[in-house]
Amino acid sequence: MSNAKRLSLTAYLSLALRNLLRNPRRTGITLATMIFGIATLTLLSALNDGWLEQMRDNFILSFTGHIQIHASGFESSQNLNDHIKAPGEVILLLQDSPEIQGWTQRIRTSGLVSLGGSSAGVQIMATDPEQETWVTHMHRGLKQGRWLNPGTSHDLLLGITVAQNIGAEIGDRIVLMAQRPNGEMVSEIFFLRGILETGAPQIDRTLALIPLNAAQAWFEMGESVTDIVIRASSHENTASLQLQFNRKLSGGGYEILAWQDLDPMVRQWLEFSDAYGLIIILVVVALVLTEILNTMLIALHERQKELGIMIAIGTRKSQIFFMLLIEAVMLILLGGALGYGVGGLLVLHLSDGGIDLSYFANAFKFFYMDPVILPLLTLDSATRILGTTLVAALLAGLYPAWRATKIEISQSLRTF
Amino acid sequence: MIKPVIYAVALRNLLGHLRRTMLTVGAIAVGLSALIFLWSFNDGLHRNMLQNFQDAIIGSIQIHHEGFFERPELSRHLRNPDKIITTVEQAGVKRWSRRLEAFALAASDETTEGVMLIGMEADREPVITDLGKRISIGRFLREDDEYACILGATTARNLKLGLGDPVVMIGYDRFGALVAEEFTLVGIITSGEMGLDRGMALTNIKSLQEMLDMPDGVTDIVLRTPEDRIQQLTDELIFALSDENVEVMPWSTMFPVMHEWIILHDGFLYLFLAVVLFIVLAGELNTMLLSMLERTREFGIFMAIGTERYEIGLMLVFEALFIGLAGTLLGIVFGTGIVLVTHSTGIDLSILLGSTSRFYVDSLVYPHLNLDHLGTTVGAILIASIIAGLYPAWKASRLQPVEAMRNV
Repeated sequence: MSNAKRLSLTAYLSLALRNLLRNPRRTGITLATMIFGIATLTLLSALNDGWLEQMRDNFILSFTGHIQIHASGFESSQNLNDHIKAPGEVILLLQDSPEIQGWTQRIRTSGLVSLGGSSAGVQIMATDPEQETWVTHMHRGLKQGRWLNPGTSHDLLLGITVAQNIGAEIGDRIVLMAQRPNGEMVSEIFFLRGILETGAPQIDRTLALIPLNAAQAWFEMGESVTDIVIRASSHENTASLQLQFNRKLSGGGYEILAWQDLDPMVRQWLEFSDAYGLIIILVVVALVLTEILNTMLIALHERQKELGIMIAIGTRKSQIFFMLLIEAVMLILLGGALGYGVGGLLVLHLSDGGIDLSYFANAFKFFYMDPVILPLLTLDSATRILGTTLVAALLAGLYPAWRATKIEISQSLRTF
Repeated sequence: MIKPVIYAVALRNLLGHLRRTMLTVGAIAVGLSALIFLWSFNDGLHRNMLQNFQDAIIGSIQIHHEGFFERPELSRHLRNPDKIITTVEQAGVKRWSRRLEAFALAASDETTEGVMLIGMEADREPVITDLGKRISIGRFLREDDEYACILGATTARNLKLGLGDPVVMIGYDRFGALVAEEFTLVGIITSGEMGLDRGMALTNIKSLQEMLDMPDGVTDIVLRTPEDRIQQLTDELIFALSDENVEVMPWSTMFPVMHEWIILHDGFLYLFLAVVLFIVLAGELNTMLLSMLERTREFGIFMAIGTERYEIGLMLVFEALFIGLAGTLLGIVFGTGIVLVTHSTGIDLSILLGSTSRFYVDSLVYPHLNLDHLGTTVGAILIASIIAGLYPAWKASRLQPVEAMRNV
């Protein structure tokens, strides 16, 4: 075959472009399908990401922080003997790091609260009242009463379920019982100053919060603490901070745990939500692809006569295939870009106020879920979903182009 | 006067361009079956969750003395457990069990931890919950056990206890006096679910009754019943036990958060489905518009030979209706087919999850078709497809014959 008959790429491009522009209505409708499909997909993916991100945020900010530093073995033993003896050494490393938004020190141990005849097992947590507000949003969960006063005051806050279970009210004298590091059982009177509702049942059911200094005096622990809790300035910094501390504190008898390690249950739950969202999105991707393929097939159906004429005047089938394929590629790339733009604008618009689902459920959060969803556009999922869709759409574009090469001239010229 | 011939022409148009018709019908069918699948996936997941949630420990309905759930004090024990059980059996419930609950401090040589000490009937408990299956080390309670106890894995680890080790339970009896008793650890529960692995201890109801000096003392009667009977049964029992000073609580009242959570999760899916519905609607509108575009010339000829505008519009509405119905039917068949297949095989989430039972979800999810949700979805799609047909019909009826015929 001579080269003269082979068309150059520019020829294909201009041919395809002219075809697209010649019938603006048809092009417009096909393009609209793609824009609509990609835009909705972008929106759905942003909704899903926003929802997951909110849960992660809520989890980290409700109690755990991004990173906790303990004396090694504390997380599994939960024993006061495994405490950090010189927290000052660690705290020195925390000062002035731009990756750290806040930190606090805590003592955690299990104990018993009792009031009158009722008692309940609790997780006693002692924290620095001021530093804590830099790390978590626990203070925002105050249902009644006030936040802890710093110092060695005998202030006590209880999780709402604990308070209900023992029938405690603000101002009540409550006896806390726990074990000192040396094993001695001690009890102490505290005054209930506030009731916390975090929305996380295991916290609401077990939390007894007291000031750090009071606990250190009560347990005769001096300056020691069990946890140093760090809030990173963003989630992405968690891993690098963990690495950094692991290096700096290696050999010092510490364990450095990220939030994922601290509550495997939540990690599983986030992974589950991720899988759930992924399945839904995959179904929607399949749906969008079907719609796009469908529109391209119908558009092709309409052009049978035109293609028949082209074949009749000697255009080769491979040339028709390439022409149609390039048309599809142009349409899909344009549709993808516009669709993503439209979807992105929609997300930006919606993320101002969020989408309020409290119509379906009461306005309170449970398991770190908010009833108001703020869609979030992340580069990662955008490339993943957009990439998949575009590649799949291009593959889908092959089919109509291939179908066109199967056209019988006589058949196609007969249609009117 | 509408000529019947319009319908014949519409039908011939549909059947004459079989491929075009099939493409449009197919688009609706795919959309609908995707929606049906998503609903069923979601419903199946929630059903599984609720099942596991109730099986874990709380059962479907619990009966306590008035106010016990708010403040579980021993003075609020059930006064007439036998009479309640007779009533429960009369209501046709076979799966019930008695429990006695009290707070206690579990102490080992090393340390202590606060726990909810639950006395159970070893023979009846497996009828209402799955606790027995969650024992990872050791065994479940036996009827003839004396002061045997089962702990959650986290609690056992914190207390540094192994099988056969003694554990002292310190608690208050119903008059507020301190009581302590030594138990032997016979089993450890690993569930991965909140509340079970930590802060809970199980023992025989007889042993706990003895320790607390409450012979035949019962604080809870726990029932298990299918999800769709819970509400009705609750109402029945409340009525039948109205002079007993008891509270009859379905799980959704005891743990409203779980209930609300499912509603919220559904709400999230509604949002998704609304968007998906839009995609289907837009897809259909597009195909209808394209096929109309293709037939512009045909409509011009129709008009030229004297067909009224409204007749052309009517013809297209009829076509849209037909396509909508056919698409919906096909979608129902196809969607239910997918659900039936996946319902029998299950969808393995563990590929995506990399773990087994979490948050009350099994790694195999069996989609379940809820007829209410099916009805809503089918109705919405049918209406959407008719609406999608109206616009092209209106467009077509406004064509100028001469212009239209010039169209290639």
